[in-house]
Amino acid sequence: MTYGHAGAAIARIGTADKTIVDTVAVGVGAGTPAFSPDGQFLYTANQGDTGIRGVVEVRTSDMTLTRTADCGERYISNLAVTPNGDYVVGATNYGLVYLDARTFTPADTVLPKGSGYVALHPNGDTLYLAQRRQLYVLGPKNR
Amino acid sequence: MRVSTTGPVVVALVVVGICLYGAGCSPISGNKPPETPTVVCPDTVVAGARVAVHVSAIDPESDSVAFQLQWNDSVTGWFSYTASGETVVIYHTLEDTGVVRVKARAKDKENASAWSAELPIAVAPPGPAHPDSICDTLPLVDEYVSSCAVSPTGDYLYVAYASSESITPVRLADRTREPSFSVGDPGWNLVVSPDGRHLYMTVHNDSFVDVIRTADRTLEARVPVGLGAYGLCVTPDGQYVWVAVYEQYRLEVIRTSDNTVSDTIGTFSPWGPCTSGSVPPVITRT
Repeated sequence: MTYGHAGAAIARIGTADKTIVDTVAVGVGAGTPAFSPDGQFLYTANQGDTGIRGVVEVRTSDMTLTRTADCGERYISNLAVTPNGDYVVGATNYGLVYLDARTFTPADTVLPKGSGYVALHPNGDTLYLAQRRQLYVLGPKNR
Repeated sequence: MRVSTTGPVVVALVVVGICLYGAGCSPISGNKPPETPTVVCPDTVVAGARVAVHVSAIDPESDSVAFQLQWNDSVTGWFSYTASGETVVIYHTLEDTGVVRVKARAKDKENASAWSAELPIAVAPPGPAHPDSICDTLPLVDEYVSSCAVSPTGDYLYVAYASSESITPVRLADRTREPSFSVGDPGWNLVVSPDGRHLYMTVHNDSFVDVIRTADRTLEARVPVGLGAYGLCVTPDGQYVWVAVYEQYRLEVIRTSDNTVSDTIGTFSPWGPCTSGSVPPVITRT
């Protein structure tokens, strides 16, 4: 897996004629995006060695970069958005990072450390972090 | 330099002559006050979160400067002196929801600047509960995970590994790991069809997408695509699988009814497609 490509962008594709409709630059080394439940925003992890390393938000109606969240040294493998749209969750080499979608600032990083991959149950109540040798099941806790 | 409002800060105010601290002060010594500070802070925070306020000010004589903040009607003490022009980060915890206004002023050893313009900070209530508490662990294969996916039906989680041909299914209802299985090659990315009946998986360093039947965990089809297939997604109706073939600078669209490539798109180098409704955006790297 080789992130860190220069000049990454998100392209929107029309399914009818299978052509690129428009694109938006999102920095360096963007990963696979995840949508907000209403489809109005998408989020991608920016993995660049320069500039912001964190999460980028794009408004899908006009493909405009709207917000960025600097996640420091965390290297984000992938993202998931809770079904209610309240949180964007990233699997990082420092554990999980939660972004409150309202403020778009990183909240606590939740252990365990180590690279992994995150997935949410469709009901949003349970989150799974798959790491080498271990699958962590996380449930809700009031913040 | 960081200064916390939580610790006591006592600054001796050295008043020269009869000059009072405040805007427009005309000191006897001829010393000019610092310029009005520049203040940077977030416009929205969650109640209980620590807010970082960045302040800086230039002193005409390059004297050291100290800062004072006003939160709504509450004025803080003066914080420690720092070099002219240096940015100081002052932390403060906002507990109550609503809008809080903050402003700052600076002083050198003799005179204070004017107050900066007020900046509003919206303090939102704490967010709802979300899954951030570890409640269970299950063993996986001793290999790096390349991806995992939950079936849209919520029945199973599937885990693929970077250097192992194994795929591990986990039954989610009772959190039971079932025996890992293999269809031949380590997977890059895998996704589950909307009805949960098929897995689609790109394969390391090869040029096909595996279509795996979940009922009996066997390979139903191996769809040839370009070398360098990586990310993939299934359209919400389950009729197509979009595959990013980054080394070939194209997307390939697999029709799931007969597991054949029905379209190719691109002249760019895609990384990971993702769908929302009928419109899949794609990450490119060029």
